[in-house]
Amino acid sequence: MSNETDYDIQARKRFFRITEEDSERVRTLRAFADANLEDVVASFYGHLMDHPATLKILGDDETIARLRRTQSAYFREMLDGVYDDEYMAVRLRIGRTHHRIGLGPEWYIGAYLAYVDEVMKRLMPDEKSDQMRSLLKVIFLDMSFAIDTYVGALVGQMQGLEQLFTTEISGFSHKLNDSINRIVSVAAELASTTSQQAATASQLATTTVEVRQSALESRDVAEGVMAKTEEAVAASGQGLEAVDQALKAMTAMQEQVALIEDRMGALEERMQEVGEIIDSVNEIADQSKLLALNAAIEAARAGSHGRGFAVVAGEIRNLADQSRTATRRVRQLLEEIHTSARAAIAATQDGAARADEGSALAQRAGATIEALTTVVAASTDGARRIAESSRQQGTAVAEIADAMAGIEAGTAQTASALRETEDAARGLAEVAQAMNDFINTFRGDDESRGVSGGVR
Amino acid sequence: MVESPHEPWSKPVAPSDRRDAVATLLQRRADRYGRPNARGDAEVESLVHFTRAGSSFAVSISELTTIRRVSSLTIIPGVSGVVRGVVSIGGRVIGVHDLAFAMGLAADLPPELWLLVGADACGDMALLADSVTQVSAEAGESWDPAPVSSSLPAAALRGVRQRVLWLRLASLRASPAFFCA
Repeated sequence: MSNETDYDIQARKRFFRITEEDSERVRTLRAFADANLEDVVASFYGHLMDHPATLKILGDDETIARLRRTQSAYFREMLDGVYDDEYMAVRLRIGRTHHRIGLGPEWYIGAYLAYVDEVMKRLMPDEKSDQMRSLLKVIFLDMSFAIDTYVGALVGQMQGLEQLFTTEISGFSHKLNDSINRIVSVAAELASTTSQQAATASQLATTTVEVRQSALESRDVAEGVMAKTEEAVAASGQGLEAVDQALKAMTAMQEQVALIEDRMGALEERMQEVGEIIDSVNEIADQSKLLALNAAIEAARAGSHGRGFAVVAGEIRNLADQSRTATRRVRQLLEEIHTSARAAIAATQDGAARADEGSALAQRAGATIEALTTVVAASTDGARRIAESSRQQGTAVAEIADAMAGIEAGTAQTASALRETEDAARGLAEVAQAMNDFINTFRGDDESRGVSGGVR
Repeated sequence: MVESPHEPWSKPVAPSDRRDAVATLLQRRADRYGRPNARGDAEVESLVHFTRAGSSFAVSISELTTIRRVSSLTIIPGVSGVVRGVVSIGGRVIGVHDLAFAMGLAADLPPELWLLVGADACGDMALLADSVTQVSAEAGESWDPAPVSSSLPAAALRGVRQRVLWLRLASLRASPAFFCA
C-alpha cells in the first residue's frame, strides 16, 4: 500500500476509535507538552542512541540535533487533534523517510514505545501507570512481532516477485540479446547482400543500357535489311519479268532458227539442183568441146577446104572451154555458198542449241528468282518481325532500366535502413547489456536487503 | 610443117654423117630464121594437147581420126601393160595405149577416159588421156628436139617445149621398147 489514495483515513480512525472527544482530549495535552516535551525527546533519543542499530541510523551529532527539533514538531502535530488527509500524508512521508534511511518497523515501534513510555511516566506517575506501561511494552513487542510477520510475508512476496521478475527479465534479456545479435548478424548479411545487390543492380543497369542500345541497333539493322529485302523483292519481280521476256525472245529465236533451218534446207536443195544443172552444162560443154575437137580433126582432114570449118570448130571449142571455165567458177561459187550455207546451218543449229540452253537457263533462273523471291519475302517478314521485336525489346529494356533504377534506389534506401537497423540493434544491445547489469545489481541488492531487513 | 630429111637418132649413122646432117639441119634452120616472113601457113600445124599421169603431151591433129570419151574399157588379158584394153568405135575394135605405162609412170585409169584415136602402119590405135586441154597452132621449128628416151622410139618424139612432149603417133608403135617399158 504505497499509494496515499489507497488509505481511507476515516475508516482507519473509526477502527482506531478516534473520536472528536479523543481529539479534544489530546489537545489538552499541549500544556504538558510545553513543559515536558524537551525531556521526553531527549530521553527518546537517548534511548535510540543506546542501541547500535538505531545509533547507526541516526548518524552524527548535527543530524541528531536536527532530528530532535523535527521530533518536537512531530509530537506537537499529534497534539493538534486534527487527523485528516494532510496529517496522514505527512505521516506517510515520514514513514517513507524512515524506510529510506533503513529504519525498519521493529525499531520504529520500539522507538514509539519509548516515546509512549516517557510520556506516561511523566503524565501518570503511579503504580497503575507502571503496570500500563509494562503492558504497553509487551503490546508493542507483540505488535513488532506481528508487523515483522507482515513485513516478512511482504518481503517474501516481493522477493518471489523479484525472483520472477529477474528471471523473466534475464530470460527476456538473453532472448533480446540473441535477437539483437541475430538482427545485427542478419543486418550485416543483408547489408553485404544489399551492397552486392546494389553492385549487381548497377551492373545490370549498365548491361540493360547496353542491351537497349543493342536492341536499337538490331532494330536499325533489321529495318535496313527489310528495306534491302523489299528492294530485292522488287528487283526479283523485274528479274522475273526480264526472264519472261528472255523466254519469249528465246522462243521467237527458236522459231526463227527453225525457219532459217527450213530455208537453208530449201536453199541447199536449190543449190543441188543448180549443181545438177552445172553438171549438165559441163556435160554439154564437154560434148561441145569433143564435137569441136572432132570437127577440127575433120577440118584438118579436109585440107584447105576445111580451113573455115576449123575456125568455126575452134570457136566452138573456145566457147566450150569458156562454158567449162564459167561452170567451174559457178561450181566454185556454189561450193563456197554451200560451205557458207553449211556453216550458217551449223551456226544456226548451234544458235538453236544455245537458245535451248538459254531457254532452259532462263527457266531455271526464273524458278530460282521465284524461289529467291519467296525466300526474300520470308526474309522481309522475318526482318519486320525482328524490327518489331527489337522495338518492343527496346521499350521493355527501357522499362527494365527504369525498374532497375528504382531497384537501385530502393537498394540504397534498404542499405541505409539496414545501417539504421544495425545501429538500432547495437543500441538495443547496449540497452540489453545495461539491463543485464541492472539485473545483476538487483540480485546483489537482494542479498544485502535480506541481511539488513532482519526478516528471518 | 618443118621436118628434117631424116631423124638423126632414128637409126644408127656414122659420126661424120651425123655431123653433116646436123650441120645441114642447122643451116636450113638458120636460113629459115634469117628469111623475113618466111613462115607460111603450110608450116603451121594444129596440135591437140592432152595430159596423162601428170605429164603433158601434144599430137598433130592431122594424125587423129577422132577423139572420144568413154567410161570403161574392155580388158584384154595377156597383153602388154601398155595396152589397157580395147574399145569399139564405129564398128572397129581399137586398142587403147597408155603412155603412163610406156614412160614408167604409175597411174590408175581415170574415171572419165579420153581417147585420141589415130592410125599408123599397123592400123587404128588410141591413146589414153586424162584430159584434152587445148588445140594450138604450132610451127615445128619453134620446138626443141626431144632427148633420147629408152621407152619411146626416137621417131615418135618430134620435139619438146615448155614441158610438153610432141609425139608422132604413127611412130609410137614402131619400137618394141614401147611395149616393153
